Amino acid sequence: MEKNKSAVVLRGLKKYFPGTKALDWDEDDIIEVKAGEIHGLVGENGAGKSTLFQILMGIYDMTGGQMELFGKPYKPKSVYDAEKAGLSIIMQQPNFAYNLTVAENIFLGQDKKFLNKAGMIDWKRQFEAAKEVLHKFKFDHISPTALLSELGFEETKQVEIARALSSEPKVLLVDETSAAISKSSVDTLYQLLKEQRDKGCAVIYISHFIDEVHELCDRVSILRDGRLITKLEINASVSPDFIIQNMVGRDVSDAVYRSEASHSIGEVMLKTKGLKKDGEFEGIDLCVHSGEIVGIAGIGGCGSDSFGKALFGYDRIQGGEIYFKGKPVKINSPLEAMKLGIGYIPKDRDKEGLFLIYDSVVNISAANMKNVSKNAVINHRMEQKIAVESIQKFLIKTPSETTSVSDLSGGNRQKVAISKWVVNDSEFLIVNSPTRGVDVGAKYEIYKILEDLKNQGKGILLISDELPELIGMSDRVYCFKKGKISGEFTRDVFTEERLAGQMV
Amino acid sequence: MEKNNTFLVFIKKNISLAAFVILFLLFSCTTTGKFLRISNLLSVLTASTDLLICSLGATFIILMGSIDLSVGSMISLCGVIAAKIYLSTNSILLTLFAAVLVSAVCYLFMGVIHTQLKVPTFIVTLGMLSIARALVTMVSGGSITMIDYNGKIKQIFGLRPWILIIAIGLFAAVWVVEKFTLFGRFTRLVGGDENVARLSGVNVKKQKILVFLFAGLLTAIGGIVMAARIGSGSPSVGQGYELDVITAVVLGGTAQTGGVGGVRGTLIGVLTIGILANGLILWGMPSEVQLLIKGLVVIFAVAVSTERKQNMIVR
Repeated sequence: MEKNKSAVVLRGLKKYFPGTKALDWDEDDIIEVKAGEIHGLVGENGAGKSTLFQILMGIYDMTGGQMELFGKPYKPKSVYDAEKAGLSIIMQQPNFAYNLTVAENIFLGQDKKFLNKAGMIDWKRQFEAAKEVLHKFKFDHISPTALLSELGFEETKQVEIARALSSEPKVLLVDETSAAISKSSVDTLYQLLKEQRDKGCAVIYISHFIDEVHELCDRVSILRDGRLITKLEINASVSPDFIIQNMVGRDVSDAVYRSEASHSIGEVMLKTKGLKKDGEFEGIDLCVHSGEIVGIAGIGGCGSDSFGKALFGYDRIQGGEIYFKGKPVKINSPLEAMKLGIGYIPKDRDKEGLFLIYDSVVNISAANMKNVSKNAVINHRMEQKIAVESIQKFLIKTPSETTSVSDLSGGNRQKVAISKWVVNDSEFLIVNSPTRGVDVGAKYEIYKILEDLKNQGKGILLISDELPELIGMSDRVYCFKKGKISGEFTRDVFTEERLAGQMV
Repeated sequence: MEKNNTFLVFIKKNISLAAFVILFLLFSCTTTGKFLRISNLLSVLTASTDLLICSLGATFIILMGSIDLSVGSMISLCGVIAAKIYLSTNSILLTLFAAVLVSAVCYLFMGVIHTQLKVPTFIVTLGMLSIARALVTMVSGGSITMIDYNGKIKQIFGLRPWILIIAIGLFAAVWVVEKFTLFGRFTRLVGGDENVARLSGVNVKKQKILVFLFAGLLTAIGGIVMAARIGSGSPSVGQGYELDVITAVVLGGTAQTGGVGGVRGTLIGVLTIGILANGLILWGMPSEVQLLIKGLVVIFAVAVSTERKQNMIVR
């Protein structure tokens, strides 16, 4: 392949979802990725990076704009089209058939290559080929005959890398891979990406870790809220801080998040001692006061998600004690947590927070049925009234309270999911990534809601992988690293660097 | 265009109502008035009572995202037990009690196995389909137990007007339960998304077992009505009955995926099946053709009413 030849050209991309513009470039915005370069794509959550990848892979249709691949117009209708055109992707969440073997997964959809004369799959040949692929990328410790479900997370990730590279792609998309794997694997990955680049492959690399991007990439494009902000050539004059400034695009001062006031902080509300769950977290001692927002910072797989679920009785703990308002408690189910006054706003609102097929009324009252019923009979008018009040109070944009929540945008869905735990007067809220996939406007409205709850004296445990959010909102932050608390900081001393230093 | 669209949406949402109206008009016009005779219409209603009562319970099970294949065997079992108990005690109360007890035990068994051992309801109820059929054959010794035409049980559970009053009363009661009680709401939440329901503090296991018990209660009454209506408790009655029940519920717009629908639709579904069977008999169709047409109607109704865009995956 010829180097410095234009591989991918993206022009004026637009992708609209109902109620939100995931990508909204100007007509003359262009990203050009050359063969033989690693092109960084950075931006905060909701900037449109993943959407861009999904358009490139033929998963989404564009609302507007053009794409070119090696000088020819490119418009994939499916992943199959995209792969045929020479694209390959390493995703944030690997997509596998877990009931099949490693070899079958590597060659998923390419079974025709291994047919014998009788028209059956020649398994032996497939295993050999898989072994060769794994060997090529130095993943010899993985057996091609192992079932995917038997592998650990890191090995799964390695299989995905091998699969993506085995097709010898001309364009390789990599999505935030390093967030999930260990340092040595990251180094291996970088080595592989550099090899691909030197072979003339065009690599587009998404990462939240700006230092890595700075070190690895030849050029960087910065997205923010669906817009293309700028393109930078990486050289000595461009510092990581400069990239971050462009990425955030606003002064990350505390004012946009919340006021500095901390008079709301009261007694200890929730305290854990030596909380443990095998393979997730252990020895967790922390406490949250009433009227306090306590953050948990950590990268994917650090155990903070599972810890949040465990406090709500959705994951079982295997050891340790929980004290709520000074009394030792056992929380074995969400129902028991709710009875104590604990609420849980989950990370995956569509799968864990909302009944997508129902309207706002049913969703908002789902955890509040006790209060809107008497002798097991539902008071429909009261239920409706509460929903309408929440819609007005939290500025939920919906045609009416009886509109199905699946018709709402991410931010408004999130506000419905939050309302559900506000209306039932939960005293303690476990909030996991409340602004994930939420547009900027709604983001700050959600921060406002959290601040109001804090001022009402509720205890809030904020689990998030967005540092600016944690720094902006929390009174204290615990850092999680590999299932353990690796640091604790109070509001007056934390900075992004300090927290990040304890996370990785 | 706009109007046309809303009309189409209305038809899609009320496909069973549309089917009902079309079939009603069709049979009214093509049977030289036989179909529209009051006595004929009343007999259609009477013949639909047991199906309605059983389908009410099944609606809750399907609303919850589960399925009940055992209902055909269960009505046979309940019918035989009712006939036998009534024959020996002559007491309506004892008869009711015995049938409900047996049914409740069977449904409790299914609910517990499903929730505790995590066996899918399709399998548990499929197993019960055989088990209950075996039980009824053992209990009856393979022979039918007659119900005296002049007995009280026949008068109340098998003849107009009481049989209609019971069916309509049960329908109204179940509708109220579905619409106005926590029990109805929790059923819907579990069917809407079991995971989210659990995370909203619903005791999902308990709810599932309760819904099975609820369906068991209705199936017991359905079994008594069936036996009283046909005049005997028979170990061979109700074969393939589960298909009628599922057809009625699905035709009524309750989605097999759970969460959507309700007993109002089921009422229309039952009546549609009722007039379809009656009209085809009036047309002189043989029973195998009736079966064929019934099958086509349910497939067609679901095909028309399903919003395909939202259902990427159909199992």
